[in-house]
Amino acid sequence: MPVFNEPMPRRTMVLFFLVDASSSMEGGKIGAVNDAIRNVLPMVNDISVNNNDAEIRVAVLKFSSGVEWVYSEPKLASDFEWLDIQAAGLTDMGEACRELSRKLSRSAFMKSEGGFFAPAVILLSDGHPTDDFAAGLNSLKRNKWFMKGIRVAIAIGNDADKDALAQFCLDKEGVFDVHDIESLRKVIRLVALTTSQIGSTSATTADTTKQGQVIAAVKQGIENNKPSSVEEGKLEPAEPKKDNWTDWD
Amino acid sequence: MKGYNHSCMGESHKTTGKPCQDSSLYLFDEETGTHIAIVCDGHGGNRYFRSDRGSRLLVEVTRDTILEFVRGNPAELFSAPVLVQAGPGDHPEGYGIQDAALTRLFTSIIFRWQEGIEQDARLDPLSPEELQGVKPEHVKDFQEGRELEKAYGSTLMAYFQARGYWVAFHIGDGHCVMFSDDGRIFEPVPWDERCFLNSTTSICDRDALAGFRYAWQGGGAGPFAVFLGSDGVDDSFGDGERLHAFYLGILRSLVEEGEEVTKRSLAEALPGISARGSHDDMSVSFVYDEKGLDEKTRMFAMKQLSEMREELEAAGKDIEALESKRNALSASYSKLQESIEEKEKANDGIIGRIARIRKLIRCGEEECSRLDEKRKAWESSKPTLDRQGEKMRIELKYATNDLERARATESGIISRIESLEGFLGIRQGESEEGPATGPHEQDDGCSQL
Repeated sequence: MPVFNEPMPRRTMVLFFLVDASSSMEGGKIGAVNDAIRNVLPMVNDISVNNNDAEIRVAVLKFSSGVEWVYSEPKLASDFEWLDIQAAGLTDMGEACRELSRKLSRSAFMKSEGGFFAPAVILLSDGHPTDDFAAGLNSLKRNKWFMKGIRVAIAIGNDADKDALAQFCLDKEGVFDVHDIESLRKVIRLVALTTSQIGSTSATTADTTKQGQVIAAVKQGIENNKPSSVEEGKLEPAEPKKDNWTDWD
Repeated sequence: MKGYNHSCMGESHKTTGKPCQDSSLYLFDEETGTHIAIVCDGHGGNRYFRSDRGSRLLVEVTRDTILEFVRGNPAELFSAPVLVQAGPGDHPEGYGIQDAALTRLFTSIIFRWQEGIEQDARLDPLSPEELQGVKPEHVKDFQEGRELEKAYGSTLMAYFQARGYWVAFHIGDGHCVMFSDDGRIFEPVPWDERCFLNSTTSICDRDALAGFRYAWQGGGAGPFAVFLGSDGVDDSFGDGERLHAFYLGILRSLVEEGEEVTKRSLAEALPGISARGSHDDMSVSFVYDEKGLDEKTRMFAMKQLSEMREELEAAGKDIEALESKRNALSASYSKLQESIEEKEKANDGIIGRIARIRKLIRCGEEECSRLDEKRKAWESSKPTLDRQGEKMRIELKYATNDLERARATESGIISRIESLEGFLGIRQGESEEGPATGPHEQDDGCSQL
C-alpha cells in the first residue's frame, strides 16, 4: 500500500554552541574558536547526511555584554556560513542561559515535522559570569529540553569559572579544560563531532545517558590523541596548567 | 465494530539482539459486547531486561481486568453523554463514583501485574546472563528482592468500548487517537508532561497508580475509530498531522483494499516504517465502526484534503513571502554592492589623490633639498663673497677717492690753464693755433667760432 510507504521526515537534533565573546577572549582564543567551529561544520554535515536517524542543525549564541544568535534559527550544517565572532565586552552567561531556555521550546527552535532528539549544548568560556548566572541557570534548569539534552563545557584557560561551567553541565565530568590554542581547537572538534554522532542517533540499549556516552567518548578521544594541555573533569588540578594563548597564527 | 492489532520488532533490535518488547491486543468479547484494544511498550534499557515478558503480561492482565470491570459495573454508571477527562492524579468533579471505579480498575491491573511478574520470577529466577550490562546498584536491588518491577517495566495504553460507553486509559508514552463521528481527530486522554523524549511514566513506577490518566464517555454509539500506537509509531510520524494521516491511511486501505489486505499490508509495512523512522518496536491496535466506513473515511479524507489544500495555500503564501523577502534582500544586497563599488571607486580616487599629493610632497621635498643645497652653498660661499665685497668696497672707496683726487687735480690744471689763458688773452679753450678742445668737452659738431 503506497499509503504505508510514504517517505518520512527525519528527526532533528540541534547542536548549540554558546560562545563567550567577552573582551578577554580577544586575540588567539576567539581566533581559535572561530577557526575550529568553521572547520568542524563540514564534518558535522557529513554526520548529518550519513545518518538515517536525524538531521543535525546548528545554532550559535554569542554572549558578551548581552547575547546574540548568529542566525535567527538553527541551520543545517551545510547551510551554516560561519561569520567570525568578534570579542568585546562583559560575560553575560546568565542571560545566555535565559536566552537558550527561551529558544528551547516547540514555539521557537524546537519545531520540526519529524520530531526531535534531545539537543546538544556546548558552552565555551574563559572567564567568570558578570551577570546573575544563578538566576539564568535556574531558568534553564526548568527547561525539559535542556535537562534531557547533552551538556558539555570547554573551560578556556585558568581564569575560566569551572564551577559555573560544571553547574551548567549538571556534571563536573562534562567540563573539559584547555590551556592553549592547539588544545582548544582539538577539543572543540572532538566535542562537536562526538556530540553530533551520539546526539543524533536513536537511543542505544546502554543504560548510560547520551550525556554519559559523550563524556566517556570525549575522554577516550582525548586519551587517544592527548593534546598538550587538556584535562577532563578535573576542576581543581593540583597545579594549574600554564596558559599559552600567544602562539596563534 | 471491528479491530486489529500488530506489533513488530524495531529495526535497532536487529543489531542489539533484543526481542520485540512491545505487546498489543485487539479483542471482541461477545459475552459483554466489548471491544478492547491494548498497546504495551516494554522499556528498552538494560535494567528492563524482561520488559518483553512484562508487556505481554500487562496486556493479559489488562484484558482480563477490563472484562471483569465491564461485567461488574452497570453500563448506566458511565452513561453520561459528556467527555470526561482526567490527567495523572486528577479526580474529575461530579464523577467521583466513576473515578473510584476506574481507580479500582487501575489498582487491580497493577496488583495483578505485580503478582504475575513475581510468579514469573519465581518460576524463572533472574539469571546472571540477564544481569550482564545492568548497573551494579540495580543488580544489588534485584538480588536483594527489591525493584523487581523494573526488570519487567512497560507502558500501558488501553481502550475499551462496552455497550453504551467507552473508556480509554493510559500510563506512559505513545498516543491514543480518536476519530469521532462528528469529524474530529483528537487525543481523548490528557497528556502527562513527564513523558518527554525518551522519559516515560510506567507501570513499574512506585506511584504507578498516580500516573494513570483516562477519558470516558457514554450516551452514544462511540467514536468512529480509535487508534493506539506505541512511541515507535509516533517517533516515526510525529504526534501531529502525519500520525493522523497514517491512521487515516489505514482506514482508506480498509475501504479500498478490504480488511484482510489491509491487515497484511500493515503487518508488512511496520518493520519498514521502523527502519525508515524510529528504529523502535512498533505496535498499533485499533477499533473502527465498519458501518459507514466508506462514508466516514471519505468525510475524514475530504477534511484532510481540505486541510492539505489550506496547507498548500499557506505554503504558497510562505513561498511568496520568502520570494519577496529574497527579492528584497537581493535588491538590498545589490544596492549595498553598488554602494560598496561606488565607495571603492571613490576610495580609488582618494588613493590616487593621496599618491599624487605624496608625489607632490616628494617633489617638493626634493626641491626643498635642492634649494637647501643652494642655501648651504650660498651660506658657505657668503663669507668669501663678503670678504670680496669688503675688499671691493674698500677698493671702490679708494677708486672714489682717487677719482676725487684726479678731478681735483684736473680742476686745478683747468684753473691754472684758465689763469694762463686769461693772462695770455686767449679765449677760454682756444689755443694759439685755434680753439682748443678741452679734455671734457665733447665735440658735438657745434664748434664756437
